[in-house]
Amino acid sequence: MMQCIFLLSDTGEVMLEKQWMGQQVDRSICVWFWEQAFPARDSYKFLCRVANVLSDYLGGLNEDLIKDNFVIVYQLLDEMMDSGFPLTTEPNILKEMITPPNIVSRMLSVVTGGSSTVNNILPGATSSNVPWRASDLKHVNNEVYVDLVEEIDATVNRDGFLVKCEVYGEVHVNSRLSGVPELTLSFSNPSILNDIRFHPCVRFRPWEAHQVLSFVPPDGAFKLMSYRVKKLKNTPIYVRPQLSSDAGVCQVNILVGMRNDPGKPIDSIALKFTFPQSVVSSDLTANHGSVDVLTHKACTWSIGRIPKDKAPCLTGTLTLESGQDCLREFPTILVGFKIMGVAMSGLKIDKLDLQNLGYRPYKGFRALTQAACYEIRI
Amino acid sequence: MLPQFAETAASFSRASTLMLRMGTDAHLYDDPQDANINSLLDSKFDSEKVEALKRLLALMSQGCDVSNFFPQVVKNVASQSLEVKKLVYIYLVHYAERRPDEALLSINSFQKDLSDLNPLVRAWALRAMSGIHVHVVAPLVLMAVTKCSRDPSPYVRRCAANAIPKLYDLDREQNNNALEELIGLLFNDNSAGVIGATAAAFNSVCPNNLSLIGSKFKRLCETLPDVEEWGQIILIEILLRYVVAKHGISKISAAYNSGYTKRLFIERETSDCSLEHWNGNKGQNKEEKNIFPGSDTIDQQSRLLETTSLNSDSSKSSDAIPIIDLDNDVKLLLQCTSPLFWSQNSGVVLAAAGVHWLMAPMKEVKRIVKPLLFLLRSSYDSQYVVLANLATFVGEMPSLFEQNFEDFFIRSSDTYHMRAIKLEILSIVATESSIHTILQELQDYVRDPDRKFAADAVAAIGKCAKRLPTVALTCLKGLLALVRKSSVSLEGSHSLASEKTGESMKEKFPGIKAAHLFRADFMLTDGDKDDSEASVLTQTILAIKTILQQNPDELEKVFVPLIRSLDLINVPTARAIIIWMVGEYSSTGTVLPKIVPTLLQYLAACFPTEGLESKLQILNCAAKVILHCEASCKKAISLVVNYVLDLGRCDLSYDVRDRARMLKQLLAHSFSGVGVDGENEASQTYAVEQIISLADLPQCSGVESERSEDNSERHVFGKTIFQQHDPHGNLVSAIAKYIFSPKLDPVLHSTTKQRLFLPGSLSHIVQHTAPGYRPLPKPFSLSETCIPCDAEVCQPIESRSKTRVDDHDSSGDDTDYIYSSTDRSFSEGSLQSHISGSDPENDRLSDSESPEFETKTKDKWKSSPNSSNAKSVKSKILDSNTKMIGNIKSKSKEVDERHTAEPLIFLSDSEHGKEIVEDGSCVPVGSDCLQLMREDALESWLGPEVPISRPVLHTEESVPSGYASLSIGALDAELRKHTLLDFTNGDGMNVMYAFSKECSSYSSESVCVRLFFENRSLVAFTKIIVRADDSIVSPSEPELPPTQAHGRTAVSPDSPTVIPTQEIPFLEAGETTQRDLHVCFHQLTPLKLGIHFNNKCYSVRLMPEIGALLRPLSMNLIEFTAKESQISGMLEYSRRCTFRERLQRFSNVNDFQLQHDKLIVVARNIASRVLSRVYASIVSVTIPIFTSFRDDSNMNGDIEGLCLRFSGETLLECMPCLITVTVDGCHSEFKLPVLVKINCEDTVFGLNLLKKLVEVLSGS
Repeated sequence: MMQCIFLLSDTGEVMLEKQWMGQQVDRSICVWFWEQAFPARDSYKFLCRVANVLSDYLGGLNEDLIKDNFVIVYQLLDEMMDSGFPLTTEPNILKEMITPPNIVSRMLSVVTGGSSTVNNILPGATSSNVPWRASDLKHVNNEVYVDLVEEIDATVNRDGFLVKCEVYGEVHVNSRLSGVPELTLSFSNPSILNDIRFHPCVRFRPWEAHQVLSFVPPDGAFKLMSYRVKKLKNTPIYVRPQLSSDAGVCQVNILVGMRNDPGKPIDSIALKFTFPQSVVSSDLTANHGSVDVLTHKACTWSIGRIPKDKAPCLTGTLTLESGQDCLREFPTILVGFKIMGVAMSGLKIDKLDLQNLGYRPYKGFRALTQAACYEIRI
Repeated sequence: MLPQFAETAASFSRASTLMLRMGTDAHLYDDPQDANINSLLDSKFDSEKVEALKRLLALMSQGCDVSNFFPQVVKNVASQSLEVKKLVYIYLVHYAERRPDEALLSINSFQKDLSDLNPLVRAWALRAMSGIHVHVVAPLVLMAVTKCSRDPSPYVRRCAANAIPKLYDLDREQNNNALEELIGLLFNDNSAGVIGATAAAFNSVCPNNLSLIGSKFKRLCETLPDVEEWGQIILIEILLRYVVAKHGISKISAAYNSGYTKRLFIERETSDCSLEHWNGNKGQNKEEKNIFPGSDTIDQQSRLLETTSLNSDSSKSSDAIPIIDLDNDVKLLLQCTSPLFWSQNSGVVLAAAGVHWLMAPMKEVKRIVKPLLFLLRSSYDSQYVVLANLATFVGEMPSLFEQNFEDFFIRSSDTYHMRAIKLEILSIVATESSIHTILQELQDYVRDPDRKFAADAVAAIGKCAKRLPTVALTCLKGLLALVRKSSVSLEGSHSLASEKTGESMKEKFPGIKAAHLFRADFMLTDGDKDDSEASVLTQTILAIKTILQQNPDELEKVFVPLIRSLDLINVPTARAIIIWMVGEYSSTGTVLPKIVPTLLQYLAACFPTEGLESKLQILNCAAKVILHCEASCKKAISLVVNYVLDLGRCDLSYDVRDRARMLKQLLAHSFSGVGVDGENEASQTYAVEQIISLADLPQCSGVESERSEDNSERHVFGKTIFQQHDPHGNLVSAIAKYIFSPKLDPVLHSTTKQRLFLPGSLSHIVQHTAPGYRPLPKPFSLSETCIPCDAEVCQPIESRSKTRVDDHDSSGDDTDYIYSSTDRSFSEGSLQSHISGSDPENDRLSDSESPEFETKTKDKWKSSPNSSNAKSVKSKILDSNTKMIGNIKSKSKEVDERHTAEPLIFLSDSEHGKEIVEDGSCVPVGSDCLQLMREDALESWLGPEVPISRPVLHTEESVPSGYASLSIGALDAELRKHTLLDFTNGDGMNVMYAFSKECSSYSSESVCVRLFFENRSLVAFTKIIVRADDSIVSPSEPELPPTQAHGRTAVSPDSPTVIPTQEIPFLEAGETTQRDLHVCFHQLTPLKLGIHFNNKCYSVRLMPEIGALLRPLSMNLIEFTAKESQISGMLEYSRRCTFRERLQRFSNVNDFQLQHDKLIVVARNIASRVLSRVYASIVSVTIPIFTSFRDDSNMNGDIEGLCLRFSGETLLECMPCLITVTVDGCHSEFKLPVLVKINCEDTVFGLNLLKKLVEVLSGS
C-alpha cells in the first residue's frame, strides 16, 4: 500500500505530490526520507514502473520534462494508482486513456488553443482478459520482429582461467499486427535454457507441456521473455594482460585476440579499467585503436574490430607515486564488444506461427550478442 | 566578433528550448499566477476552465495552498468535459478534507455520474467520491461502492474494490461487516483484475478474517496466475496465511526441517505484548504427519491483555489432526504458485518462493533455487534485496545452493554490502567438491583494491576452513604461504626500502601479501588506508589461528614459522593474536615449550615499544606460560614474568597497569608457592569478575563473529570454584589456573541466524518489524480443534503442568495463564478454592464485578526458606476495571502447599489516589512512585526476605508472563525553558518560554506557552506585548483584547493561530514577570512572533515542541491495547535507541533493597524523561519480575522487558497517540537499549514525535 508519491527534483525540492489516502502526508516527510531512506519491495517496483511509464510518455525523465508536462504526470499518477494500489500500469492501455504528448498534439494545442489529453472512452482492454493489448488495432503494414538480445557475463581470474561464463538473453518482440493475433514461438533447442522469465502475456501451460511460447502480443515493442544459459565454455575473445612493476614504474602489456570465431565480425571492442590509486601518470600506446585516459584515471582502449593482419596490443608504462616500488592493487579490466547476427548461447528460434489472422504478416528475426559484465582480473 | 557569436548561440539554444517546450504546460508551471484564475474558472469555455485548473495544479505542486478556490472549482464538477472533470477530481481529492462542507456540494454530481453510461465516468466518480474523505458521506460512499461492485464493467468493479480500503480508512468499525461482505462478493468476481484489487482490500480491511477465504480458496488459487503482478504478491501472501492457519506448516518442508519455522514463530515479537513459545517436543510426533502441531504461536491481534480465550491446547489438537500426506489445499497452492517463478516481477517470484519454502516437500523445494538465482540478474537496484533474501535461504539450507556457488562470485561492480553478503554465502555453501574453486576465487579477492573487502575475503577463507575441516589444511597452507612469502619479502624489502635501491620486488617476491606486510610495517602512521591494510593482516593471522584451533596437530609446523615472522609484523592487533597463541599453546607439542622461554624474553624486551593490545597479551601470555611451564624452567621463567609484570605496572596505560597488578596478585602463588592471604571475599569476588571479563582475549582483537559463547558458563563456573574452595586456601591459584586454561572453541555466529521474518518482506531486509509487516497466523488457528473456552479455567493448567515449558518463552497469547515452572502441579481443587476464597475481598476492594486475589498467609511464605535454585512462577493479573495489578512469584517447590496468594504490587492509579494492598487491607499512598518507595512498601514486597509468593489466579484477565504491572500516575516534571529573546539582542529584555502543561483556556486546540520576561537593562520597559509577527494580524486593530482575538480569525488553516499575551504595562529594571501566550499550531514550523515594547518590535521565532501538541488522554491498559491494535500497521512506528542514564552502581551489600528497586528507578527515570517533554499520561508500567530475583550481583540484566505505556491525543484533531517504551536487549552499565513505539494515525506527527522521543531518551 502506498500513501503518496512525491516527485523530487535533483535539489530535493518537491515538484509534484500525489496523495491517495485520506490522511495526507505532509511534505516535510521528504526531509525525514532523506535522512533514512529504505526500499520497500513492492513500492520500489512500482516506482520503477512509474518511472518507466513517465519516461516513455515524456521521452526522458528529468526535472524540466516533469515540470513541463505536470498535468499529464498528474493524470498518469491518478490512473496508475488508486487508494495506494496499482490500478492501470500497462503502458498500452494508459496511452489509450491519456494521450502522450507528441509534436502533433502540441502544435495543435498551440494553434487551436488547447486539446484534450484525456480520452473519453474507457479502453476496451480494461475489461478484456488480455489487458495488455488494446482491442481493434489496425495496421497498414502487418509485421512482427523477433530479436534475440544476449549479454555475456564472464569472469577470468588472475590465473587466466575462465571462472564463470554465462549468457543472459532476452527475446524482444516488436509486433505491429491488426486484430487479436495468436502467436506461437518455438525454439529448436529449448533445453539449454537454464532459467526463464516471461512477460505476463505468455501462457504457462504450453511452455510446461511442450516448451513452446504461446501468447497474444501487446502492440509495439516488448520483452517477451528473458532467459539464462549458464556454464558456457567459450568466449569469443581473449585478453591477456601482463603487468610487471619495478622501481616505481609498471610495465603494461595487454594483448587482445579472437578465440573462437563466432562466424560474424566482432564489433566495438573496448577495454576499460581504472588505474590503481598509486598510479601517478601513464604512457600507453596501442598498435590498433585509440587509448583515452581520463583525469580520474579511467583508461579506455577502443579497438573496434580486430584486424586480420595483426593482434591488437596495448603497451606502455605507468608511473607510481613516489615511495612505491611496485604495484599493490590490481585493477579489473572490463571488456565490451558486440556481435551482430549471433546468439552466443546457441539458442535458435525454430519457427513463429501466427494464428487468428486474415492476412500474411511480414516476419523478421535478428540476433545480437554483447558483453555485459565481462571481467578480466589482473 | 566572438561575444556576438556567443550571444547568438545562447539565443539559439534559448529558442530551441522554447520550441521544445512549446505546446506543453511549461508556461503554466512557470507562471501559474499570471492570469486571473477566478475568472477563468467561471468562464463558459471548457478550454479556459482547463487552463485555470492546470494553473491550480501547478500552484498545488509548488506547495501553495490553493484551497480558497474550492467553491469555484466544485462548481465545475458537473462539467460535461471529461478533461475538466478529471482535473477537478484531482483538485477535489487533494483539498476535500480541509473543506468538508464545500466538498459536500459535489456529492450530487457524483451520484449522477455513477449512473452515467460511460464506465469511465462511473469509475472516476466512484474514485473521487471515495477519495474525498469526508466523514459525513461515508454511508453514501458505501452505497456507491455496493452499487459499483455489481457494475457490468470490470474496470468499475475494480475501482469499487479499490474504494473499500478508502472507505475503511474513513470510518473504521462502522461498516466493517458490510465491507467484508463486499470483499467476499468481489472475491467471486470472474475478472482477475478485480480479484487483485480485492486482495489488497482484504489485506487492509480484515487481514485476519481468513475464514472469508475458505470457500473461495480453490477459485482464488486458480485465478492467481491471471491476476496482475501487483495483486499476485498480495494474493499469494493471503493464500499462504490461510493455508498456515488452516493446516499448519508443512512438516516435510525445507523450512521446517531446517528449523527455520521455529525461529520464524518464536522470535517474532520484541515488545512484551505477545510472547509465544514453541513446543519443540510436540513437533516430533509422527513422521507421517506433514504438519507440526502444538505451536502456540501468536496472532498479532491477540494482545497480551485482551486475550480471554485459552490457548489452543497443543496436545489435544495434535491428536485430533487427521494424518494426511499433503493437504489438497496445500497441493493446490503449490501447484498454482509454481508457474509464478517465471514472473518478471521479482516480488512475485520471492513471494512464490516463500510459499514453496514453507510448504513444499523437501525434494521439490529445489525448484525455488533457479528462479531465485535468476533474480540476481534483475535490476541493479534490487539486487541487494534479493541477496538479503537469498542469504536467509542459504543460511537455512546451504545444500540447496551448493551447486550454484558460481552465482555468488563477486563482480567488480558490486557494492560493499553486496560483497559482504556474497562472501558470507560463499563460505556457507562451500562443499568439499567446490571448495577448491571457491578458495581460488577468494584468493583473487584478497588482491582486490578494496582492502576492507580483501580483509573480509581472508576472514571468509578462515570460515570455510572451519566449516570443512578436511580442507582446513589446504587453507592453512595457502594462508601460511602468504605469510611466509611476505615475511621473506619483508626482510628483503626492509633493506631495499631503507637503501632505496631499485630492485624488482615483484619478480623476487611474488605475492601481494608482501606488500601488505610491507605497508603494515613501514607506513603504519598514515591514515585509514593502512587501517584496512592492517585489518587484512589481522584477518590472515586470525584465520590461521582459527584453523590451528581445529587442527592442533599442525600446530608446530605452522606456528613456529609464524613466530619467526613476529618481528616483522607491526600491526598491534595481529601481534596480539600471535602472542595470545604463544600463551595458549605454550605447553603443547615438543618444540614450543623449548622455544617459549626465549620467546618470552624476546617479548619482554619488546614490551616497552608494543601497542596497547600487544602489551595486554604479553602480560596474559606471561601468566599462562608460568602457570603451565615445567617445574625445571620455572625459575628462569618467573624472573622474566616478574620483569614483564613490573614493566606493566609502570606502564602509561592504566589498563596495562591494572592487569599487571591483578596478575601479580594472582600469580603470587606461582612465584612463591604460597597462597595469598588476607584478602577479603568481596575483593576476591571482584577480582574473579574482573579477571573473567578480561580473560577472553581474542575478542578484543576485533572479530565479532568469534565472540566466545562460553562467557556466562565460565562466569558460573568461576563462581563454583569460588564456592568450592576455602577462601583462604588455594583459591587464587585455582582461579588463575582456571582462567588460563585452554579456551573453548568459539562458536561461529552467522548474521543470517538472527530474527526471522517472512522472506521477501521489508522487515526481512531491515531486520526489524517494519510498518505493515504481518506475520504468519498461528498454525491451526482456523481448525475446529481450537475452541476458546473461557469457562474452563483449570483445565489448561493441568495440561500445562505436564508439558515442560521453559521459563523464557513461557507464555501463550491465548492462555489465561501458564505456569512456567515444570515441577509443580496444581490441583484443580486448590485453585478453585483459592479463587473463590479471594473473591469477596476483591469485590470489596475494587468495587468491581471481577474477582481479585488476596492473600492471607503472608507470614507463612515469609518464613519459608529461600532456595536459590527454585524456579519462579510468574503471572500477571490485571483487573480491567480498577487497573489493579498483582504480581505473583514463587520461588519454592512447595507451591501447592500454599493455598493463598499475595499480590506483590497492588497499585491502582485512579486519579484520586493510590492504594497498596497489604495483607488484605488498603493502604492509601501518595501519587507517585517516589512516594511508593519511601513507604518502603515495595522493598518489603520485592525484598529478598520474601522468598515465596503464591500465584494469584484470575479467572478472566490474568495474563501469563513474567511481568508485573505497576500503574503510576502522572509524574511531575519541571518545565523546560527555552530562550525566545536574548537580552543581548533585545536591549536588555530577556524572554524565555516554556510549554505549559495546563490546557489552554481559550480553545482546546491551543497550547499554553508561558513566557518569562526579565528586564536586565537599567531602564524600565513599557507596554510589553507579544503577538504574532504576521501581517494578517492587521496593525489596524493592535489593541485587540485577547478574548476578542480568540474569535477565530479566519486565518488560513495552516498558519498557527496566536492569541497575544496580555499587555504588561510596566516592567522595572531587574524585574521579572510571566504571561501566557495561547497558540494553536497546525504544523511544526517555527512560529514568528513579535515582542513589542517601548514602541519597538523585536521579531523572534518560537519553536513548537511536538510533545506539547499532545494532551494527556487517560485510559486503562485494556483500552490501550485495544486502541493499539486498531492503530497498527502503517500507523505504527518504532525505533530503537539507547537510554542513557546514570545509574549508580550498587556494589555494597547494604544497598540490597535499593538494588531491587533499581527497576523502579529506571522506570521512573524513563517516565519522567518522557513526560518532561511529551505531555501524555502514563497508562501503565510493566515490570519483568522474574529477573529481579535472579542474581544479586548482576543487576544489569534485570531491566529487560520493562515496558512503559503512555497515551495522549493530538490537540488539533484529537487523534489518539499511543507511546510504548520497552527496554530490550542486553545491557551495559549505563546504557539501556529501548524500543520506542508510537501508534498514531497522523503519520507526520507520529514520526516527528518518535524522532523527538528518541532524541529525548538517548540524550544524556
